[in-house]
Amino acid sequence: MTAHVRREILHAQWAIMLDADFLKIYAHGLVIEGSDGVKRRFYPRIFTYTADYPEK
Amino acid sequence: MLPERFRDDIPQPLAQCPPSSANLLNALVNIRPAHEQVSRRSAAVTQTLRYFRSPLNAFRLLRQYFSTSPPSHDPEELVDFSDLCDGHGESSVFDCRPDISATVELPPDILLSEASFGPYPNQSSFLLGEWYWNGGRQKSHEDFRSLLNIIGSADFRPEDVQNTKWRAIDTKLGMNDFDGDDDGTNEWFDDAGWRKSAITISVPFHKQAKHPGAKDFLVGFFYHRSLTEVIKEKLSNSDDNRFFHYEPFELLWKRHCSGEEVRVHGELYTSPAFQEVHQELQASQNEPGCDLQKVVIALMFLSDATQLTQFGTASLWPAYLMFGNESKYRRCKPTCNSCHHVAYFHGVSFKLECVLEAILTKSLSSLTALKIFFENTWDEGLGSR
Repeated sequence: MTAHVRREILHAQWAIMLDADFLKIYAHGLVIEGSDGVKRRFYPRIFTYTADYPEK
Repeated sequence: MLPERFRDDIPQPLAQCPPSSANLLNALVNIRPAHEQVSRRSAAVTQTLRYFRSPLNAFRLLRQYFSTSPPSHDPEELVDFSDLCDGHGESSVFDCRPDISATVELPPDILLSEASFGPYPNQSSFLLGEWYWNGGRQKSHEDFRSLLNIIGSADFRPEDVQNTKWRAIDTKLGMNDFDGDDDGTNEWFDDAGWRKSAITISVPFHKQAKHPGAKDFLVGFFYHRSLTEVIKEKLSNSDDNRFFHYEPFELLWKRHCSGEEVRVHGELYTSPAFQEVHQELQASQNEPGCDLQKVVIALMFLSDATQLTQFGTASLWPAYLMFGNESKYRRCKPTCNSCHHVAYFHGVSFKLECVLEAILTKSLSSLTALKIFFENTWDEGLGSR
């Protein structure tokens, strides 16, 4: 039961973090002008997640 | 010349990648089996994919880009000797700490309106407040001198600070958007500020329970920032943006004798994983009507629960975000501010643990216990509003 609640709580929070705005720029990119004055379309991708997993 | 073992080579940046055709290898994709997968997926794109190489540097390291055109932006150009070694007093381009010792001289003809000091009513109060909060915890001679400078200045007006409501100002300074203001401002600000969201989880109850099925419960409140806004803020910061690697490259070391090339690993933007994601993105369909360069932003999340006190159970569980497009040497410099706070995770609180314990020892029916707990949380969360 505790393990279930722990897992659910963490996942619920990640669901809040990875919101609709984030999913939109993940799929369609985000246009931003760089320091060199050139516009580029940036796509965020998650590469690493270094964390403690609350299994107990 | 000294034998090699006595020589001490000083660090050197990677050779720059000139966009000239002299370093163009014109190698086609299909001679490299590693990229065959990509070439099949997007025949149209691979036609023009080429290798672009930089010359060797003193350590026989070279960069190899694999794209349709030479890199449009080269952050390595900005790296100089002082960025590659520690211990020198010289300032480096990596060092982007604002010079706090420099005082801002305002032109005398600019009349500052009272509103420009934020919660402070006037300049004298602001300077005192700023001295108190930003001067560090322990008082030093230097701090004392800066205090004397403030109150000794001709602009300082004692009558201005006499009626300042310090306590109210401090409360206002410590407030977040979601705390709400007296004037009822909304908690959903469109910036990289902190947000507060309710966490709801679903708890299943078995068939024999009084009320079977999955029930939603509110656990607590989650403090976090909008990832989109953090990314936007980061990319719009031209100081950081200059050092962003938009395109991955292979870092290769050429052997002295045989000329054999060995892959060197170290940065995320030289890794096969980045390369793969980059090629995949290039091969994907463009947004309709958009032919801008497509760039991968490598997010690296990290989190670790921290004990706040030596005794007691106070702890925090922060989550941070770093960008893999930046060099690790930049990321590890605290003065670059390249590690971003994005959230404080909510764990299973002591109270909830007690409730779960009670359920397990069957001293309470599970639904009643959870209901009591979650309803309390709800009240606590609403109470402040």
